[in-house]
Amino acid sequence: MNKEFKVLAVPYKVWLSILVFIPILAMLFISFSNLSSSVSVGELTLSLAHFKLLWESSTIIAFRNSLIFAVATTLISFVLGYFIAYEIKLSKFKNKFILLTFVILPMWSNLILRTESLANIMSENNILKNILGFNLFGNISGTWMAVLFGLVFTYMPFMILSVYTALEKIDFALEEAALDLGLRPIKKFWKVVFPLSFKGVVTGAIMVFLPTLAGFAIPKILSRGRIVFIGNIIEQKFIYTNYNHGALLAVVILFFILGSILLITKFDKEGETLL
Amino acid sequence: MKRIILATLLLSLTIVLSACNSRPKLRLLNWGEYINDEVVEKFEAETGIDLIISVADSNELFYQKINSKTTAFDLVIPSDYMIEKMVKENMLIELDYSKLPNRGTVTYMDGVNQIFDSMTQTTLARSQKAVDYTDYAVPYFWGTFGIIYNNRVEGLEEALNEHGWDVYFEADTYFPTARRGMYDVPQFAYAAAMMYMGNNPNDYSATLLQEVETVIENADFVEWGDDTLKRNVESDNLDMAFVYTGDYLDRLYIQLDEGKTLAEVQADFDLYVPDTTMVFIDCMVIPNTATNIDGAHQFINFLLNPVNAALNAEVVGYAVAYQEAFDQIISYLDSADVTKHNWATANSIYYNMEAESTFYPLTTLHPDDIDAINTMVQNVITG
Repeated sequence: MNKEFKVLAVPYKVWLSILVFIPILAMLFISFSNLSSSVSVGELTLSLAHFKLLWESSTIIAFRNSLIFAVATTLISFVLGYFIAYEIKLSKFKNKFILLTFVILPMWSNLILRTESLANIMSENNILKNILGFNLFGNISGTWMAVLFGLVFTYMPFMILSVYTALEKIDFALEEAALDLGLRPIKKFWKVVFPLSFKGVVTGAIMVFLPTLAGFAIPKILSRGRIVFIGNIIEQKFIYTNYNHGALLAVVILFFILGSILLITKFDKEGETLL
Repeated sequence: MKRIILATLLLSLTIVLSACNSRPKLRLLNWGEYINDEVVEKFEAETGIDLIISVADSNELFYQKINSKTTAFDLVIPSDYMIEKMVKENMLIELDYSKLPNRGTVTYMDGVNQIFDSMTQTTLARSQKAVDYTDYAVPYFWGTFGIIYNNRVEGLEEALNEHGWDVYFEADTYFPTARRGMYDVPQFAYAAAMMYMGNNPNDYSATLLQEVETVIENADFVEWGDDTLKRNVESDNLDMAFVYTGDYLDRLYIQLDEGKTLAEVQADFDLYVPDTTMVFIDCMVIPNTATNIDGAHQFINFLLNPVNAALNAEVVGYAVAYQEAFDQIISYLDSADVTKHNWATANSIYYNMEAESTFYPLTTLHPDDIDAINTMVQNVITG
């Protein structure tokens, strides 16, 4: 029986090695060599020449932007999203599935379309201003506020869903016990509910942090090209077929991601999060 | 059930049979939405050749697709700088003008000839080779770049007409509060700044790069966009941007279709084409992977007929490359058909033949130089 299951796992292993492991190795190699379309095999050398790109002010600022916005988005999504999830859990409404559907409702339309529309109504003259007579968002298109708003708006549902799943799993008997033993509801929340749901927060944080860190479409559209994330620089390097620089930056991002996964495994010794 | 099986059989039979059809094929690699379907039908009917069109959205992709040789394309429509690169790497075959009798019946527009001259000069300066690019390429469409501007800003139009590039780049002196935008293509930003400084946009040196950096910083761009630029000027969210003339015409035609008059649209936003500006040209070339070389010549010859070229331009909206086709479009000025009349008007204003202009097509810079330009622009954006 075991053997058969092993065979069934082969397709994905093949898939993983062809589409993930080999490309990562190739990426590493490209970032350390002078390989390009105009270099023949005989002239290949390993070098650290591309690494001076990492000290370019635009690269450093782009990394800084990605990190700051990813952290800020995760924190805001956590604070705002947690209480939405908690309220859904507490709600007396029978069909909670419908409530959750409302949370993911924005995801029913295409991400780019949503972001473009957001950029539109954040600009000085827009359709909402014509209807309402005033500017709902002020004129924040092109600023950091617009980008942050867009990121939180897009990724908060992931936080809400994973926190909600964790909250639902908590045995109500534990909460009753806490109240029986004399905890006030607010203390019960901090001493019982929140610690038990923390795994959900960590999962949600990963799901918000990683796409924000590596993303490029939302900042580009909402900042009108003025706030550069590291993803934007990587995109540009690949468009201009500068694979060495593109691969190098992608490898650096990979280290950031590995780092954050290590951090999480530290928190999550029982492995209850998605990882 | 039997009927369904029968129908399926019949269907698959037709598919198989139609695949075996013996009409010769011509594989064209083109940009998206860059040919009039009526032209395709007419060509197929006249010559009995099946035109099979593949689409790619950048010159670099054209290059890759031809180089990889997975499909043997018979005809490609790349832009100026890519044609230079392809000729340099011996990827194109020379045209046989004895198979293009229609060439004698058309005159290339002055601007088109200027572009070919400029390409030849660049190659001469870079590699000391004299290449006549008309040996390899027949123009398909061409177009200029200009500054799209918000005409709701008082005095901007007059200032642009009087001071040209200065108004766009000197944010301290002219209209300090105006919102300026630039294409998110570093080489466009570099080229525009070079033309403002009075240089050839295809020159490059480290010193020039530093001067350009200061110029771009001073312009204080609030947006680095793409198609968003034209829409933001249209909607009063941007005041000036350096764009393709075709970008402006695109929005103009849409507004005209919605029932506005030309004067009304121009009062909102208009286009200023500087005396010295960038141009592009897309040409039909035959890659040396071609299998149906005769067919490719037939197609080029077909489009060298001004009637067909004008028909093609009806949908595409860029400038036709032949004087005769242009004249035909201009003749619609007297047309009762509103669409045709507007089309002719726009062509007569924005592809002004009388203007004394210097046109620079962009050329491929060395990859290291392009990289330096990209990084410079990123540094300006991140401040």
